[in-house]
Amino acid sequence: MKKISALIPFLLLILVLSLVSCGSPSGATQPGASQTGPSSDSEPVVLDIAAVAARLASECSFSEELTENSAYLSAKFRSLAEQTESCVAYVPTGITPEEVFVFEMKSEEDTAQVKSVLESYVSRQKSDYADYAPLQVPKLENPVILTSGKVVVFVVSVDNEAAESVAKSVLGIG
Amino acid sequence: MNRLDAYSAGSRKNRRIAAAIRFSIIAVLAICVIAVVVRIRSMGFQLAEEGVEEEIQYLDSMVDLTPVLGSRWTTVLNGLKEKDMPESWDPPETSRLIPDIDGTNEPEPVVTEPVTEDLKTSWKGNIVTYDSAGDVYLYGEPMGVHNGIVADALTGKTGGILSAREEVPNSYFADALFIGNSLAVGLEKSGELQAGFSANIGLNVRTFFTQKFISNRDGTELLTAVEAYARAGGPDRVYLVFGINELGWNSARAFTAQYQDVINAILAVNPNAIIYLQGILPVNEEMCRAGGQYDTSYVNNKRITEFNAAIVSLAEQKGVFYLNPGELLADTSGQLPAENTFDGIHLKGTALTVWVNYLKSHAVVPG
Repeated sequence: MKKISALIPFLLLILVLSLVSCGSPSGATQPGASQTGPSSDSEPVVLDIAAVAARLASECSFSEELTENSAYLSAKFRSLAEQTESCVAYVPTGITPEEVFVFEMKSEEDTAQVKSVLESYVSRQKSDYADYAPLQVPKLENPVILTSGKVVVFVVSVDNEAAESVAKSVLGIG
Repeated sequence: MNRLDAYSAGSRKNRRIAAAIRFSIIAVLAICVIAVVVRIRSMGFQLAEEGVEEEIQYLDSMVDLTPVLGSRWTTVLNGLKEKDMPESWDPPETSRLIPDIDGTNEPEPVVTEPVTEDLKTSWKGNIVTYDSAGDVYLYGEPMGVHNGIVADALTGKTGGILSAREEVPNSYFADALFIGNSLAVGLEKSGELQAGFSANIGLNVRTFFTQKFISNRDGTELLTAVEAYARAGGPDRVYLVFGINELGWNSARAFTAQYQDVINAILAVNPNAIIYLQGILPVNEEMCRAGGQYDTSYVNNKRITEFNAAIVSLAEQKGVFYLNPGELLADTSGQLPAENTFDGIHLKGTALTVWVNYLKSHAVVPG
């Protein structure tokens, strides 16, 4: 009995250590840096989505100044809340449909759902703008929707073709 | 022992046995009666609780304009549950009111008070009645206001134009809901105000009832603005931003007639809502004309002034409040300055800040 009692503190210590090690993030994090190319390591590189969104907002072409407002994105897409790790948005305050959304999902499998939700969103936007501001509709014809790992990027800009190139560069995909 | 003694002894024994049997039977019957009474009482409370759950579920699925508060009851009578939504409801004269003060839906100390018409209209939230031998449960919080009219504590006014007063903190808007058009969308996107928004480009006082653009929580359904308001439980503070899309209608009267239906729908969900009708903001007519997107034959400041006068009248008539941030945004010629707008109508950052500051300094605190 004494031996068992003496072992209990060690067992508790092992239990605590194992729990702590489960919480450690895996993979390398590169805060503040964007990916410039695929990593040669087998470990996936975690993107800083705030940096990704900021680069997209500054390097793509927009007719109005965009403002960072991630709370807007969370409210707009509540159905994705459970699967979303974090999200960043740059949006205008005028009438244009131009926007930048970047989602980091909890798993790669969740990115398919995001893409589906964004496609439905674009469809509704087209319908709304067709009635209200038809000159804006062409911007919604080929929005940029790209994924890299757990990250999903959405851009509607003045020049979506150019925006796609920027997005691929930022995400480090071909 | 002789035979007589033996007989007496045997009889006494039999009588004792008989008495014991009678006592046992009586005891068992008494226990059964007590158990039945207790069970009935617990069933009553359980049914009342189930009534609350059913009421909550019903409110969650409600999408029509049926008035919610004050005229919908789940009534439990003699153990039978009965869903009834009468236009009026006559409670027993000596009903006992048991308020659910702590929101646990558990019965609380009985308060002897008759259920009057005033009390019925002043309770907010899910309402369930449990009526057995005169017991009545009303769940919710007393609002202290009646008939859907909210008085401004500062001026005592119950509607119309609000004067400037001390600014309210940002938290005032935490439970406010902005419903409206692309101008409200711009306010939402600016992040200047942390509030709820049910706003969409092109929304008007007619499509408030028909345009499905608000996603429900799990993304399985799109709701109209009125449906979303009801599903949200009817927030107490509502800012309506309409008018710019209706300038092309036949008349201001046609606009306010439909606008009245919007107000009625909101009050039907929440009779105690503080409703603000925002005046139509000024435009920059030259930019509107140059952009080619807006028809300045009706998108102009003269028409806006006419429509705003109609909105003021509507606010006074309905006992709701009128806000006019345009008075701070317009220049001396009544135009929206070019530096404050992208296209002559939609606002840029600094103008949005002016708008928000106006809202903070023109907020009703109920009296």
